[in-house]
Amino acid sequence: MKKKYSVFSEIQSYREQLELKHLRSQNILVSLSVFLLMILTFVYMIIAKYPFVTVFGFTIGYFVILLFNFAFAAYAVDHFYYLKLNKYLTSLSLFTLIITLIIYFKSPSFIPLLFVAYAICSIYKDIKILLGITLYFVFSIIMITLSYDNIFEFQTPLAFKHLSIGFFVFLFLAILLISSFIIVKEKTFFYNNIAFAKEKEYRNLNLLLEFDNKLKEKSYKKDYYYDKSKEFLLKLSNDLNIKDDFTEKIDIIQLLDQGVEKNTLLKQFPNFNLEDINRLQKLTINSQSELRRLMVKIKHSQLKKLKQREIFSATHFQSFNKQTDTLDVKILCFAVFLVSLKKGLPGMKIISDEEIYDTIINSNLYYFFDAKVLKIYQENPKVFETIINDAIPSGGVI
Amino acid sequence: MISFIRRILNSEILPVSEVRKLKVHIVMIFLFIITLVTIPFSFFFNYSTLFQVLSLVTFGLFYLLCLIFVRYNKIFTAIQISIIYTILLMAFYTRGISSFYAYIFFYITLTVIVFYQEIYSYFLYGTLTVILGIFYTLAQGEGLFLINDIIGARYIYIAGLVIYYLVSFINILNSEKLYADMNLEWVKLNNFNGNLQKDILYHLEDIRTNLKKTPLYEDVDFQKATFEIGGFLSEQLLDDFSKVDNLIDLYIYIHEKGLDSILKNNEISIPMKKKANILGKYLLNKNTDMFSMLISFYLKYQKTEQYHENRYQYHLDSITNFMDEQIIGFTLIYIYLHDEMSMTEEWKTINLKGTSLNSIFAKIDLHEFFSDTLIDFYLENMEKFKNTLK
Repeated sequence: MKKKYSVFSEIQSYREQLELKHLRSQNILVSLSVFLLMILTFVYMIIAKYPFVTVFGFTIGYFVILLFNFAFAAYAVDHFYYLKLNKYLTSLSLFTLIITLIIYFKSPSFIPLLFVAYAICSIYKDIKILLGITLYFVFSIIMITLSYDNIFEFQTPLAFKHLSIGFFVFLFLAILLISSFIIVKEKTFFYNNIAFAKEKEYRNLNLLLEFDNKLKEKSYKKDYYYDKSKEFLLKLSNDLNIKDDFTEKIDIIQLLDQGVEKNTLLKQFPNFNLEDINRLQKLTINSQSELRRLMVKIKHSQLKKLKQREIFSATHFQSFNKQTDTLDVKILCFAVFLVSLKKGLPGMKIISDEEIYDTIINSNLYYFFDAKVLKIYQENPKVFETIINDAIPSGGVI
Repeated sequence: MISFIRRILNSEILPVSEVRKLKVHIVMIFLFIITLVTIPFSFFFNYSTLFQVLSLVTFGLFYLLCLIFVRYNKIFTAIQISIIYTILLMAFYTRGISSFYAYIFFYITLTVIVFYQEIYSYFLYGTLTVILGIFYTLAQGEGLFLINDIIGARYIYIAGLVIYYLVSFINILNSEKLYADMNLEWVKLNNFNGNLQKDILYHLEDIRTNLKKTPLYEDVDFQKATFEIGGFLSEQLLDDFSKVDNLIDLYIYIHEKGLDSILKNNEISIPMKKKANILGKYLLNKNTDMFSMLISFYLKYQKTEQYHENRYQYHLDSITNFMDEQIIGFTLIYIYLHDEMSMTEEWKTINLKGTSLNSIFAKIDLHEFFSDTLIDFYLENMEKFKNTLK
């Protein structure tokens, strides 16, 4: 099936930012687990009186993995992608080290350490790593069984020895892979939704400022805001007995808002350079400024207290494909949604039939509708178009 | 089956409750396979035929119980039953034979418990599994060792199991914290978007009123097209074609009368009220899922500037680093909010009239927008702000 694109293309970048943000803590947990394995291997080999060179060799092996971890974590301060590289390197090197232990000791008691390595690597919650180590796991088990047949020469002889062990290892691996896969997907669910909500917030703010600009701009008393703040800050400076640095800057901001050219301002205020003027422009209160975005953001940020039930409920998940809804409701939702888009909302951009079809079928919005309903739409777009065009002869603009 | 595999592959689009259900289904399939395999394997176990038959019947009953709980959507109970089932299966294998594959069952059981990502279940059942695993290795583990095995092999088996248990526990704790934080962030963002969309809805209403147009749901063309599309789809998907027509009638009726008045009306039947309640999520004249999805669609076609790392940065620090300029920014924000509070209802936006600025500031996390120094400055001079900017 063709991969669906995100409704907002920016989601991908922010998802990655989120992933990297959590990677640091995951890396610490992996390092701690590797350190624990190192200590236990070292203690065992000392107690079992293995030659010093061997003890030293394996300890150095763990130590190198840890060293790479610390080094990459340090480099990641400048470039986060070092952490990404680190998780692949750590996973592969840890698996290799455990296989070396199995080959060296030639005892089945070390095979469960492969399961441990798998669990450690799954802390990263990365599908590529999971698939990589699963293949590595299968390959190494087959190679060990073929090359070291006596590794399964148990004291109690078993019927179908290799078959039964192979079967249960396969079962274990299957449940491990599926469970890790779903757990990674759970994380992806949140990454996707947070990234989507963030981008939607950004675009909602844009839309609101656009509406403000169209409908309310004249009612804003901008000069009143600037004059009032000048008056207040002058009084405050006097009260606190400090130099008034505010008035001149507010004057510049006010002039910038009135559309005065920057070159004119540079001549009028010789103490300020272009960088200062550009920075002060962000503090104007016209609908395109960053400060105005912040104002609208704060105005709408009054959050109601969330109840525990509300925090962990699925009600926040907006979709026309809810398991609790019956098929007739899903059909209604699709019909209303499609016709509303075709008919159009007042004050909004007109969306063409092609754009509507493409977004519903080819973007990840596809998953928010019932698959059976969409299959009919996908197979008969012209029928839908004709039905709507016959019913809405005006062409769909409200 | 294909749709089930598709659900697994696309599980990132399913809400948490759905994923939990999917997990139970996966474990059920897994347990079904193992139980089937257990029948031939049980011939090698040191059990009497009667015990084997009784055990298999018990497994069958547990499986049935699990299916019933899933059918009636009691997912948490189904999870507990499936875990107990796995532990029983593990006990059946490990008490019946001393072998490496029976030992793997401890890992299989731990993995099934980890899969559900429930801390308390893991702590309870996982600890029990590890204790049984240690006991098995110490008391019945002779089948795990080679004739000339290495020194302390028994303890390596135990250490492997304990480390696996600990690493999985750490993983669950980490996931729990991660999901709780992300869930909270997501809910907060949704609430904020809900507030913004409320304003957008009001604005759209203002624009429509100015244009002297009828609301979408009252538009005859809209109604006709919706009935036709609904009819076309139901002809192919439903046995009863009239079902969708009746539903659209009810949908339009809710818009005209209002959901509350329908729910309070004693003459309307309970099933219809239930349907009306479901449709309440999809109304066009309220800030519903339908409105939100429509807005998302329109927002896709909004032209925005190119993505950069600080795209979602709403901190005054990101506008200017200079303290005096931050104070100017803060003062302008303060006056803006103060002005919004006293604004008449010329526009039907979220109105702050009647609320105090302090109460607004109390409801938001100031640190999200302002530096500590600026907040301290405001708190020290709060009275001056209040008195001068009355």
